[in-house]
Amino acid sequence: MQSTLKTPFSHKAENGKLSNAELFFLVSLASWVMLFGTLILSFILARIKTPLWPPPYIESFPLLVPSFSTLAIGLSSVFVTKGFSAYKLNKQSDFKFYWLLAIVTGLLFGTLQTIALTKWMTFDVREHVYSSSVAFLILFHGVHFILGLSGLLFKFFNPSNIQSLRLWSWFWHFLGVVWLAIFMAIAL
Amino acid sequence: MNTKRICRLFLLFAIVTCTISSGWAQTQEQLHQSNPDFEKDHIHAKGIWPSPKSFVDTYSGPDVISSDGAHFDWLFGYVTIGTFIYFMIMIIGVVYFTFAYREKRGAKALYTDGHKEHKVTLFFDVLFFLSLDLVLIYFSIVDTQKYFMAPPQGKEVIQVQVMPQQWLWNFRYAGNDEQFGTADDIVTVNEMWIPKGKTVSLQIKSKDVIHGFMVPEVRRQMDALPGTITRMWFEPIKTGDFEIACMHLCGTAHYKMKGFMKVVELEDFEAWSKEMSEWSEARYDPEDAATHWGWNWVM
Amino acid sequence: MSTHSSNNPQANHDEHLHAEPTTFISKYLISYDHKVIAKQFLFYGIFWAFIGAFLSVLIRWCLAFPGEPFPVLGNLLFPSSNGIIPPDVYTMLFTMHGTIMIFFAITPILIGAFGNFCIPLMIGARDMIFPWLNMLSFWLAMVGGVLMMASFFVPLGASAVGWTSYPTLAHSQWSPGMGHTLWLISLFFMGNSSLVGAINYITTVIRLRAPGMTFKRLPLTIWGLFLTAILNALFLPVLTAAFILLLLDRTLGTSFFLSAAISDVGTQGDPILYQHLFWIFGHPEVYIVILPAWGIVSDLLSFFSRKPAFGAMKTAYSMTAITILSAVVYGHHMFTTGMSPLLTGAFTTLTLLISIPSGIFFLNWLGTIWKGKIQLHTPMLFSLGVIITFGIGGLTGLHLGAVSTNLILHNSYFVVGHFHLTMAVAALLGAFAATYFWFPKMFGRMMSEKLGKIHFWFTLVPILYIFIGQMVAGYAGMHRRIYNPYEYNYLKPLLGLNIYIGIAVFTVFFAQFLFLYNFIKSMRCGEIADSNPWKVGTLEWTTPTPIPHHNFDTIPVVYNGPHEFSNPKVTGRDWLSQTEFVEGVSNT
Ligand code: HEA
Ligand code: HEA
Ligand code: CUA
Ligand SMILES: [Cu+2]
Repeated sequence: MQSTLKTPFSHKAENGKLSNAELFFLVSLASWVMLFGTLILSFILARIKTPLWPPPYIESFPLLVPSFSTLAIGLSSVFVTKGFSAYKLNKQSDFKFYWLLAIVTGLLFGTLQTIALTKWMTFDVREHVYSSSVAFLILFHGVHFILGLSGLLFKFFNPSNIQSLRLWSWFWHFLGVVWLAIFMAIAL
Repeated sequence: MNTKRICRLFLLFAIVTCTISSGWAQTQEQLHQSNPDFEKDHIHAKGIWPSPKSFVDTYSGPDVISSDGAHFDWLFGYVTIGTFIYFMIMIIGVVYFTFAYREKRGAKALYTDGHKEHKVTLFFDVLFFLSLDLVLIYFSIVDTQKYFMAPPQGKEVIQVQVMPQQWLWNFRYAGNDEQFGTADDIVTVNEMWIPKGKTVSLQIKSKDVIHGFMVPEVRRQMDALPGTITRMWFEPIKTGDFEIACMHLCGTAHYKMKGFMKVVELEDFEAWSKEMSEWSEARYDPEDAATHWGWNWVM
Repeated sequence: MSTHSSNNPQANHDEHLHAEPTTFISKYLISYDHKVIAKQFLFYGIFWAFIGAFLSVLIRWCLAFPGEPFPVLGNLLFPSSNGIIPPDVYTMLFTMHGTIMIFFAITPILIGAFGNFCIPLMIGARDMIFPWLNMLSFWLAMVGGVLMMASFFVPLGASAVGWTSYPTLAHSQWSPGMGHTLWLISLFFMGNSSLVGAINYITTVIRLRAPGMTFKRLPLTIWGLFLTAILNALFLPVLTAAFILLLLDRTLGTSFFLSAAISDVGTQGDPILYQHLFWIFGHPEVYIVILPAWGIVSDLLSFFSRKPAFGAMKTAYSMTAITILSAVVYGHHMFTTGMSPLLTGAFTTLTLLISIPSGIFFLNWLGTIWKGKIQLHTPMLFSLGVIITFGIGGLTGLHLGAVSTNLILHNSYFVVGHFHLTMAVAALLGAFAATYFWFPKMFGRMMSEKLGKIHFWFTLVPILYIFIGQMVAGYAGMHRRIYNPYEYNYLKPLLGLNIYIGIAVFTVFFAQFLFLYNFIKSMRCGEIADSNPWKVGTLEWTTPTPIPHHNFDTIPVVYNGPHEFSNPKVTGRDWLSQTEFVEGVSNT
């Protein structure tokens, strides 16, 4: 009888089936999708209902900088995939390289987002539901983004467990997709 | 103390409290009824065992005064009686099965899984669905077309704007010029006059929180929302004074946010309307922001 | 054993072979053991249920004896008004009553306690798949509970906007003070507690089923809990999102739910948006509450009729159908908001469609007791009670589901009667049935049958009177959430009815102390239970009592369905354990 409390992540996936941790992650992902889905849906509903969107007296959210940040997070996703496949092939240095690139592009995304937000938020964003919901969506995504980035950083230094490496990379892709949805809801 | 004694004590306790409190309740009720605040002419509730007539009078809701209210009552009655009959059949089944097949009476269980009896349940389920749900769906769709779809238009319609606020009802009539937002608009508080036999069309918008407009006798309600106009219309067919209830929780005094609806003969209404409109125009005060709350009648 | 998802069935389970904790704290407080967490949730739920029930007594006091001081405790609770319950307190009373009963009493008992207790034991696992998350779930609930309790004592009092917390009343302009903010934060914790639990349950049921435990052989209890967990995992985040936005509105002054017409700055939020979000969650929530009870009752009826559950798989599939449909009917709570006629028609139809699958399992319940060998033990009595009360409650859902009649009944006591009969009575009686049924496994002793039966009758009879009475009052025009109905002339005749309902409520309330006495007393000195007192075959009864820390020494192999009763091929007794292999009955 073992006496330690093992974390579930110790489980290996067997012949292509999802491991427990992966299953857990997928179920939580469904919840996360509902959470962000609800927020984006509320944004879209508010947008449909309001005749003038964005209202003339509110500065509209700049789209140039966020386009670049979208590019950055997309690239970052690609690097994460590359890094992960390198890890699976046991190419340690390739892994480190791509993973570092992913982190750097991730940081770039964060910086660009911050620049876009701070430059735009010169007025009281609470004034209109347009500005407050744009700011809120970006910040709420940002909180999850910080979580994801710390995960990537952590995995950069402790890449020993392929299981959690895979989960963090999934989470990273998820954040990318969520940002894309938010960006489209705002921009289109 | 053993369990047996606890049981006995509890039974005793329950019987004694029930007896005492019923007696006490009767006296309380009489006290309340002799209270001068209570209207003398209302039907006296006989408590737990009323006579069938007083039971029906008391609990079947206030009398209908709108032209279509009886239809909704009929629908309610249909479903109630239908569900009651089906439910009684099923409960008789439950009680009968429970007692007839008790182990004590030496019943032997039937091993059923996978038998053809499933058709029975399906049959009843479909029967219930067709006779209850389908009727409800049918009438909901027909009623929507007939009663709730398009607000009535035209000169004949009495238009009233309703703006509830915490905790009173504001009403606005177009007045003699038949235009909202002019000096001769009639503005009343907590009192809505309407004529018998004409369609009344309401546009409702709340000033602060969500309220709900209902006159129980009309058998219809509509929420009052801040920022959005909702509509409701009906045709009163009886004169009298009725209470407007606020149906939606709107704060501490929600329970007494009560208005009055006065249904009067058409001539009386016209006279009242004319006089009030002139009166309003004469006293029009552009500074008085509190009375300038109306909106253009939106189609 | 090809049914199991892993090549090595033991591997998933061995992971849960932890040494038994020894210190008091690791054993009873921050325990990872699902059985201990189940008990924690049970005590938590019962504690809150009594608070919630006491609040309902205060509510009924107001309605039965308006303007009279509340006896005995009145002066203590409301010193400033000489023991009379003031109107602002009344609004807090029903808000907190609804919130506490739903989120702090019935959910922890049915899902927290019995979900935790039954899932691993009934599927043949050593513990939940993520014991740590399980513990987290309880402690999040604890934080939520503390915050909710604290909100009673802040200046301006607890939340007073109804359990639905509709803006704009829920905005700080109209309900100032910390009360409602704390309420939101507390429910945020409760929501995450349930969410974490739900994710754990789903993964556990998918992964840790013992070899041979296919979904077809899964007890219906587990079906109910599993479907509940799915609804929780999908729809709690919706509530969380709505609450975050509302919290921002309240604290930071944004205006997601404030409309242009009424706020100072030119915003364009929409209070109706909140209602959509709330009911997208809220309607699944009511099935979250009742699904475990449906599952439990479906099983218990079969156990005590000594007869296979009639159409067990059809019951399971119709519960699944309801789970799916529940996502698309929420609009029936919003018929009076001036919804487009197209939508009202669609929502009416979808809502009423739910009665088909409900009817299937309801009639299956009748099929189960038909020609059975009925043993009227306390759990069986409570299950029969569920049939009656859920029947009435569900059928009155039809009146509400059709838009024509809904426009009369919305926000009236008819709705209150409907949802108490389904949620408060059917789900609660289901929880009682579960308590009486699993008590011997949980605590190793039997509860007193005699006290249990008295408790049953003193609960069922008054409670039927209370809530049918409320429906009668509702049709007579009494609307909900009013402090003093007798302000309205047309409600004055209802005083008599309300007084009798009041008395019935006081009776049920006191009858619950009988349950409490029975519960506590039996825990310490009830009759010692053997390992299978009810003679049923599901896996939890194959373990010894008290259950060892690891539940099963070796993971059982399942050969039969959960309801193999009175099988003519089994001789000598009328039940068959899920783990026994009998030629001609079982297959691998
Ligand atoms: C556990 C909780 C629970 C359950 C199971 C249900 C079940 C149902 N509910 Fe209820 N409901 C609530 C809890 C619940 N409800 C709550 C809490 C509210 C109010 C919230 C608030 O405003 O505060 C509410 C409010 C509510 C409304 C809104 C009322 C209003 O505010 O205007 C409506 C309207 O459609 C409704 C409908 C239904 C229907 C159609 C079902 C169906 O699922 C019922 C199906 C069951 C049956 C039909 C009976 C069994 C079947 C048979 C006996 C045989 C076959 C019969 C036929 C085929 C017809 N409910
Ligand atoms: C599960 C939920 C639940 C339960 C159990 C109850 C139970 C009761 N409720 Fe509740 N009620 C609600 C949910 C519930 N209610 C909700 C959601 C609202 C709406 C709030 C709002 O409008 O915002 C409401 C509102 C509400 C009102 C309307 C107030 C108003 O609109 O003005 C009234 C009035 O009579 C009322 C009365 C009662 C009564 C007399 C009981 C009695 O049944 C209570 C008697 C006690 C019991 C039957 C036992 C309690 C259980 C135990 C002590 C132990 C349990 C242990 C185990 C099961 C192991 N309730
Ligand atoms: Cu206004 Cu309730
Ligand atoms: Cu619903």
